[in-house]
Amino acid sequence: MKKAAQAAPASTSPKAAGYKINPALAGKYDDQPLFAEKLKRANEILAKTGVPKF
Amino acid sequence: MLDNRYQFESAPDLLTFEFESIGPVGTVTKAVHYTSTDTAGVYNLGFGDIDPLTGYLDDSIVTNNHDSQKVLATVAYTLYLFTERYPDAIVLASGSTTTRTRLYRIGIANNLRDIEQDFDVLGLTDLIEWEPFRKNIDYLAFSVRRKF
Repeated sequence: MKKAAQAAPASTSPKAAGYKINPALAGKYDDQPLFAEKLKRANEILAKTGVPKF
Repeated sequence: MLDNRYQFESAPDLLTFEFESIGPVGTVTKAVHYTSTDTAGVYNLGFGDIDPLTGYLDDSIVTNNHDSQKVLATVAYTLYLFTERYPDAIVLASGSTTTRTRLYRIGIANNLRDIEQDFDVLGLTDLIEWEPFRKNIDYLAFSVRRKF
């Protein structure tokens, strides 16, 4: 997986409160077939459409 | 929309989230995962239940915990956190089946007014073109980008 870019600092927004950071979750689901399948589908879509224009 | 949600845990990079759905069928662990695609700045949103028998995630399971709105609010909340950390990200989402994608579409449509306050939402048509999300249209996938 590519390294995420454009990371911003942790939020101070009221909408972004009330959760716990758990380092054990980092990469925990990287090898799940469901997500691999969905990623493949997303890449297929992007190959056909290009980046969505907003 | 976001007030009634589950508590959850996040990986430090805010790419992976986990929470428990609690209801009549018991406790079901759910995971949300944002995966970077081959296109820079575009991520795929994956979401599913942990199958207790296999340990694998599955998004075709109908949990029947009578908490679909609460689950949807929790997933939406992770999208806020993710896009605050990665403000330029575009997020794609689709179900693994037509039925599941339709459920996502209904969830977006039912909360569109709230969602559009903070996000631009596109739907992927049968013609494989992105268009601004409209209610009552079947889409193949969705993409969102945070408004700032």
